[in-house]
Amino acid sequence: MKRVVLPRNAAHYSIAATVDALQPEVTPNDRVVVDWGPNEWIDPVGLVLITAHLIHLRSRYGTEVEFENFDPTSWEARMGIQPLSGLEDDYPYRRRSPGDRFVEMNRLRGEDEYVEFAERVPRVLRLDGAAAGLAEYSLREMLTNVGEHAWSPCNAIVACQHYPHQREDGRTVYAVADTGQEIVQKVRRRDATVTDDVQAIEVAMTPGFTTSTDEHRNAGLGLPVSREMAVQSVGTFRVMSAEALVLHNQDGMQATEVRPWQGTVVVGTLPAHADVSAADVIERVLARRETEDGG
Amino acid sequence: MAVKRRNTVRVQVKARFGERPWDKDAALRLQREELLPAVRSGKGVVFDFEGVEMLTQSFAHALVSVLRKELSNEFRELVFVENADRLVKTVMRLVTEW
Repeated sequence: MKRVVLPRNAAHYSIAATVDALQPEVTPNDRVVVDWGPNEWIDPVGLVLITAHLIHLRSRYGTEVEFENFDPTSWEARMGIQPLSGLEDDYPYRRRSPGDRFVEMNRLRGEDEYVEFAERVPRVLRLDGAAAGLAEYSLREMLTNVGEHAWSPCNAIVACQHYPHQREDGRTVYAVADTGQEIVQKVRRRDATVTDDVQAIEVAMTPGFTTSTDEHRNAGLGLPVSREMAVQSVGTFRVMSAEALVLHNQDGMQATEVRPWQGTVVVGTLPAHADVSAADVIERVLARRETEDGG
Repeated sequence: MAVKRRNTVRVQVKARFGERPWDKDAALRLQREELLPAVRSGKGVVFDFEGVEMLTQSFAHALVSVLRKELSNEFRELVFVENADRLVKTVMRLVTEW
């Protein structure tokens, strides 16, 4: 039996620690027990990491999973972590309260489900016009990436929450995880000179770069434009793939080493009341391109 | 090769693909089966975005990529966008100017 003890406040401020805790060496006959005891707060990022990883263990090793010290009336339960992790739902009769500003975790299987989810997020989180557009646009693009590039056994695991009191304006967090082909592997297949995981993630975020061989389906603008939407609205954008976690914000880029992760995770934070709209961001991307071309 | 607006094929994007279009396969089919033959016979194309509420570059690219390659420098003279809100206009600019 292998025990997973989640770090406190998993995972927005400790994605690397959460990934580390989730991955004891597991062999095919192991049972995995996830101990929820010491946690004070698990955010959507933590939930999608846990869920995607447990689905990965089940599909790869047939691993049996148990939760210990889990409160079936908790927020984590209301987000749907038990059924999505393949466990019995102890408390299925939950209701949304008027103050709830989260969208339950979902396992989305195709573009029509991506569209429905992305449209629902701004409404449920009660985001204003510009912030609503940024959230819907970014989610659509990140989910489409999973469907088209990852071939993910767990499909796309996604969750969103709004934190009204975080910083002055509040923040919306979205997390999209898959357990398919990592971005870094796909970049390397396209460009063998890219050996470093951080470099591979950065290449994937270069406007116009695509791992697709079908030029009519993919322009290589989904990931970079979504990153710009987060950064230019004074949010953050994280991509984790293989052994690297890359963060982009207004101060630039930071990279962290993580334990090898099967698949790719994208995490965005956006303001509740944005000063820039999705159209503003795209205009700036175009203006920068014109400047670069002119220079 | 400038084209008069009456000599065009009009695509009602909402009627074909919905308020939040997403079906890239259908967009590529439309280009290959209907729009490409039209432009090859000298017609232009008007994309009418009336009622479209959200457009991503992923879908927009699949809507014009074949035409863009076929028409090259003539694309701007033969393909038009109408009734687009600001987001739709900028997304269409992104996929046609990048």
